[in-house]
Amino acid sequence: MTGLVLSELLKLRTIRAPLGLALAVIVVSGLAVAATVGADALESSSRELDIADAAEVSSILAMILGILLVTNEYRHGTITPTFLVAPARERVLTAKLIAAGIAGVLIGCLAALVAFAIAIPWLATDGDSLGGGDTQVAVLRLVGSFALAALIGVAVGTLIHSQIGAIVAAFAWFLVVEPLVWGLGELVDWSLRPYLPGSALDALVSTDDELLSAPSGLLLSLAYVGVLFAAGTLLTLRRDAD
Amino acid sequence: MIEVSNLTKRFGRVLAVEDASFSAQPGRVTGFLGPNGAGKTTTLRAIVGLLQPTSGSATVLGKPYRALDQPSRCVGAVLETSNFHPGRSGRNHLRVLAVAAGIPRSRAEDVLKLVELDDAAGRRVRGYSLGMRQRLALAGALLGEPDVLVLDEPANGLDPAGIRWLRDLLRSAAAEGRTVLVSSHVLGEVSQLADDVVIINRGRLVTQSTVAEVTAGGDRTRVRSPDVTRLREAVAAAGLVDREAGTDALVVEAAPARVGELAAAKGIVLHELVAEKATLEEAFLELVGGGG
Ligand SMILES: Nc1ncnc2c1ncn2[C@@H]1O[C@H](COP(=O)(O)OP(=O)(O)OP(=O)(O)O)[C@@H](O)[C@H]1O
Ligand SMILES: [Mg+2]
Repeated sequence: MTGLVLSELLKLRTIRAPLGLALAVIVVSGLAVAATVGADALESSSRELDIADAAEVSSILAMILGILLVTNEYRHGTITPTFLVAPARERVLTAKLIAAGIAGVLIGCLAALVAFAIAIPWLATDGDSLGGGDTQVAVLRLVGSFALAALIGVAVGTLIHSQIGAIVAAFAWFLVVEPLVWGLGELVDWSLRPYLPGSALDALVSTDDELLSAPSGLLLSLAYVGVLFAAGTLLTLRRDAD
Repeated sequence: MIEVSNLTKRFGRVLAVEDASFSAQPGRVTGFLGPNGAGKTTTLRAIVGLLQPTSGSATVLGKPYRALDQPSRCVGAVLETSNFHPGRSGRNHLRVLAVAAGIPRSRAEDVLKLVELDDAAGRRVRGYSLGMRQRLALAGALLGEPDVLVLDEPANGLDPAGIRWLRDLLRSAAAEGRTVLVSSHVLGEVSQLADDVVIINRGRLVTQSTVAEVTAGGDRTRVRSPDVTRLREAVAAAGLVDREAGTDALVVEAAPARVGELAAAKGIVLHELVAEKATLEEAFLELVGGGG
């Protein structure tokens, strides 16, 4: 299993896309945090978490990374040599899940670094001090949300082998459908909304009390990963490799 | 050793392979022949566990591919399509496979040298020619020094020197006792390379035998004469079968000595008298019912 995970990490290191995604995370999270701090939009209750929440916008890019880890193989046909070397497909997909988790943690750290490297000195000039325990918790939650997003990406990829299809589906669901459900939600009482996958993921770094608590959000997100991944793995085991 | 037993694979309405059984033996090169769409790629993919047979089975070294302990050390396979990420270098492609298979990374350098790709190894595959990709795929198959090679049209895209190199490589693999199953369209190639042939047509097995048996079509002589009409009469009178081969030549189903004697008896001038062996191509076209 170690060999398979290392191989998956090597796959990520030997192409350019992950680097591009990491750069995009720096830019997007950096801008989002700057906008939030600049607009004085920090609640006094938990400013650290508000900063993490702003930086979390780019976690969709971690999800894309997870999707690429699976769908690149189908797009370029490398799934053939991959399954030749390791015919136990569930092990290959599990290795991808682990590798994506590791990569998600790394870009999560990057996002946290950028976020607080901008926020801490900025707020310090106003005589505000950040740092200490609250910041550590916020960073941890932020990194967790990136890792989870990457895991969801792998799970989506195992279900939708087409790269375009999987990316479009992820964007459509997390950036269009769920926000719409929340936007239109005033018309109906949708008490189930906090249980949607994107909302569960958001709960990790949000102070919004309409969402679940962070631990519940974490557990529910893991459950989504588990269900989607299991379904995708079963499908991959049953289908021909192409 | 590869064994295919009653293999059937259906893709929706298309019956790609129907009840095919054959084997490939260690120490021999087995050519796998068939026209386009005959089911060669499908069969090879089933052998290495990439697709699920509708019924029947295929085993390598006595086990289904998926049950092999260390598959890359047992079987090396090259399948038709170019299976590379275009943005990854050839060397990194091999390293990714080696790491997954638990093979030392240094082995990547060895196989790169073996397929004569070491100069281009650092370049992205995007810039590789068809022949270079084919060599890289072969390098991947050779990583684990496997006892069995399964190759789908490996000569595709190789230049004449490359084809010769491939032939030597596969011959020496067989000489070392490995099992080599190789599909091809280029029949001239196969007749020089293979010991055995398996011929498949429209998903059904046509024959499995040795190349020598398939091409042994009895004696045949090609004869050229300025007096081809009289020669033809003489041949017919002797009860021999012939066919025209151009305006001044015949191909007679008999040994050259016999044809020469007949011509001498009638005083017919000959310009050419050559023994002809049925080529694999002729045998193949006859067996699959294409062409003359
Ligand atoms: N994934 C698939 N889905 C549907 N039909 C398929 C699939 N793969 C192969 N076929 C069909 O199965 C038949 C056999 O195809 P196959 O690729 O095995 O032939 P082949 O002998 O390798 O041909 P070629 O010499 O052209 O490579 C063809 O009719 C092909 O259209
Ligand atoms: Mg084919």
